[in-house]
Amino acid sequence: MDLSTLAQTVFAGVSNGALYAFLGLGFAMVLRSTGLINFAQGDVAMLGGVLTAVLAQAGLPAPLALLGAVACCVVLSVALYAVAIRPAGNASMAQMTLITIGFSIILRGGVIMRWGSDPMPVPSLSGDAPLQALGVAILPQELWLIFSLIAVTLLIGWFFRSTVVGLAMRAGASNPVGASFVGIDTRRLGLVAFAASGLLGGLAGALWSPISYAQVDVGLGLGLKGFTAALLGGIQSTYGPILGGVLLATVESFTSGYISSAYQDTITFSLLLLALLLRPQGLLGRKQRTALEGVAEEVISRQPRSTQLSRGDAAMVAAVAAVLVVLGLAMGSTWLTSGIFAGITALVVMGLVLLTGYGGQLSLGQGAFMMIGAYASGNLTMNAGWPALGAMAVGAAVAAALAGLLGRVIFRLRGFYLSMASFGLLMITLSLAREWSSLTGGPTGLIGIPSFAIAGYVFATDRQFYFLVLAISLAVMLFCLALVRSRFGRALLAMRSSESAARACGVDLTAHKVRVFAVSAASASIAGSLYAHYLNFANPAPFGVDATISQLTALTAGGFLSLWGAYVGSAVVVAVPLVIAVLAGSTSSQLIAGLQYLTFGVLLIGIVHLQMHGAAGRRLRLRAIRLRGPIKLVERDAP
Amino acid sequence: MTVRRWLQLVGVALCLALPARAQESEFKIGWILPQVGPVAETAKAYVDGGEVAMAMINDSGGIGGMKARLIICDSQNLEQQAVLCAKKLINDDKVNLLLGANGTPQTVAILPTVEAAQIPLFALAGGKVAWEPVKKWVFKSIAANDDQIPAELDYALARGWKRAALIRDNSVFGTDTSKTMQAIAQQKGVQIIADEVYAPTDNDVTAQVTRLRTLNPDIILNIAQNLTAAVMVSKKVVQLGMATPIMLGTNNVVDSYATLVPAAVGQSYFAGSKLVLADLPQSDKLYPTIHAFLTRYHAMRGPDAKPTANTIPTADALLFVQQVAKPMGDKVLDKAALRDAIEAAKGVAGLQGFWTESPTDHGTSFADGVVVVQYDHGEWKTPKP
Repeated sequence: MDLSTLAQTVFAGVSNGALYAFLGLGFAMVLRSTGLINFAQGDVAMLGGVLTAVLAQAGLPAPLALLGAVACCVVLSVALYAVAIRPAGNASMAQMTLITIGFSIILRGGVIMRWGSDPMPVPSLSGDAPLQALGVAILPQELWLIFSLIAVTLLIGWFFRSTVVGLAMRAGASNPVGASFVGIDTRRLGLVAFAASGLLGGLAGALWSPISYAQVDVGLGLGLKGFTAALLGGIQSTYGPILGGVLLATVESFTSGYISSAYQDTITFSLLLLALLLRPQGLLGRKQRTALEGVAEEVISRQPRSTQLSRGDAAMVAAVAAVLVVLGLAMGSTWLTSGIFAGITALVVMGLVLLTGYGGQLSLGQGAFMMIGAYASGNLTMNAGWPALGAMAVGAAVAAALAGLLGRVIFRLRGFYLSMASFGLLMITLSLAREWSSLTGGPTGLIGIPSFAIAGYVFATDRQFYFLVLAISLAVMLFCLALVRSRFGRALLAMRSSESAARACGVDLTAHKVRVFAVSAASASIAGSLYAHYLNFANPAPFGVDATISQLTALTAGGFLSLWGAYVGSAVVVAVPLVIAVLAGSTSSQLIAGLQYLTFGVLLIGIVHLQMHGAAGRRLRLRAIRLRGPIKLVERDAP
Repeated sequence: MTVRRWLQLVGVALCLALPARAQESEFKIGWILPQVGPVAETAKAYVDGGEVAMAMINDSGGIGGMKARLIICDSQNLEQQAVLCAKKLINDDKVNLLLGANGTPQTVAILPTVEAAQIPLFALAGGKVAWEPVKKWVFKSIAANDDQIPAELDYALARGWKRAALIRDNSVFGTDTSKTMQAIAQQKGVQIIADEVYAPTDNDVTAQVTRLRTLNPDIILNIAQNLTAAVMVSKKVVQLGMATPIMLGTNNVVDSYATLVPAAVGQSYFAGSKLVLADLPQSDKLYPTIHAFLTRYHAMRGPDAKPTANTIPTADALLFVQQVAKPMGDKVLDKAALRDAIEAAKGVAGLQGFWTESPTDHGTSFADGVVVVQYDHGEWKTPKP
């Protein structure tokens, strides 16, 4: 092994680690004082870079451009908290998370509309010529990044040790109720935390982008790395994210340098999963009280027992089926195709309603299960000659089993861990799908998957396939309805309302969450199978982060607790781009693209707010929810 | 927004989405391309050139004597949206010809729809899977790896650079680059000493480039899919203090490369289309077609506007169709007849090269249209020896 290569690889770990640490610290700040995962963190960093580039292009000297950009990031972060998060009051954690996702999409939309999606050059603070030391090439900008991180770290340490606000934040983080008893306004702490996260994100973007470039698409990747860093190091500890960042970047750098860059994502996110499973509090974090700790569980409700579906349900199924059948007979090919995609999305969303609405757990990784379905169906029907239904069933079973396994470990913990674990699973699956070509066809994908057929009857035309999707989605709907009407469903609702109370009534929390996660995974897998048969093609790209965002938007639009809302929400998600394209007519493509992001973002935030407040919200929700009586969906677990 | 407002919006959308009454004497071309995502910048250049070609076509008798009209549908860089676009263009707009979908996965996704509807498609995709093995209705239309790699390696050999290190992305395009590169390099006697991989979404390639530095290759080959990937690698090469020549692809011939990595310009070489070459000799066989296009381009876009490699694939396909359709008259509206005419083309001069199709091969070679270029004070020129 070459020594200078080794040294360069280590230095890359440190310098990228500084970047991840900045973002990780931002995540930790917000999480500790508000219990939220601020998914906009990465896009705030993106904005920091873009604004620095724009201000520098306008003629400002580099340091001033940097300060201006960071100031804007702080203002926007504060605005996010003041305008979107604080007024949402006691929305659930899943809903709050969706608000931050909405905000990040708005940022992207705004940047695309105003400045487009081309990469922009960003001037560095003191030249681009690399310094050479011991065979290691070091950029002055990398030193700026590293030393700024050290300065910020010292500042944060002082802030938490020696200022009133800092001490109050620590108090609020360790015991919110206690803190409010002694007169600490936890809401104002949120404001401070968001300002700090804006500062950290903006600095990260503005300091790092001269090393590469500023561009609208970098935010998502940066955010992921930052969050992983925070989790690895320990989100509750002051210096944890820094250690996590350096560790993560070093692992990445050594993986690409010494093993293979192809498996960088697989290894990174496996590390994240492993950390979540083995040491959820992070390397430097103190042990968190887990949901089951010290509780002798008396399990009463284990087996879901179906109760009969009500007459109302039967009528609703009949009515919806009738409407959709008529639509299916009347629509032309383009609309049928939209209907098919909406139906496929609806299958995923039904699972999400159970998991998020009833189970109170937010999954960001349903795409992983869709991939399992798509590739299982593709391989088994195309290469092994299986019947389509059998292949679909195998996919669903595998997905459910995987979810069950993951859930068994994850659900011992309270809080946001499923979001992260499922997201890690998605990234690993995506990376495997690209690299494991013998099974998946690699990035090219499986081409020539046969059309869906049952006992020789081929669903070849759009209309035939539409009715197939309709039939399967109604069957899944019936299953889900039966589930929520059963003892199992009531237990879920009780759990959603108050975990402690539910446990007091003998509900086995972990088992219920695991089951509902498995059901949602199975229905996502079925959706993936249908998708693959319809396009006669399966590749990894359609199951990535964009798909997750539209599924979550559909879930929000349809209503968290409304199974029937899955159809409505999915239709909205499929229709919005069409409507925008038509309304915008021949305006520039850049504008349309930006507008689309903006619309999705505003939809996400707006609907969550509507659902939290007043009559307008209630009107949006479907009747099915109101029948269920006064269930409060608001209780948020303390961080 | 109230429910009523929503209904109004949807109503408006429905009305507008209803197909306008088709004019009889029109040749309609449906174009599926992404206006968002990482390839949106490329797509903009495609449209830029496509519009110029349309103006040229309609000023010189249209297609088969009919006015030609372009209908664009945004695929959003998503497979399912590309399929929706294909259906809309075929069924609602009743187009006579399809172009798309600027991205190999999206193009593969629309193939079953296109074959079922029996409509000719010019595949705007870099990956060979779109037209190999030959599909009845699908034709290649972008200079792909096969076309640019020979020129690159010939140039490298001429300069005596025999140990080449490949770095590429992990997408369909990058995988194809690797395969094609290995095969052609072996024929030509260039040694590929590394095959490094990055993801298009990566934000850092220090480790990969550091490994290349250890191997000390004569040349680094990075046929990047888009400008960001080109810049990311080139910047890192310079930042790690390497003076190794870098060879990039036709996609990367964009002026902003020079503003994004000024320090690497001197050591960067590109496989470039002859169209971008400021000093293309008049004796070149492609000069007449390229000159005609450029004249019109500058008349429309201003004398300072500069076309890139991405300006021409669509323009080339459109102008090619006009050539093919000339003797057909309104028989060009018969999709099968048009397809047969395209398949019968032999040596039709275009912008990227000479179009030659056959029943067994729909992947015409554009190798004639590719040369190695370098950026020199605002212009793309043949590198000085």
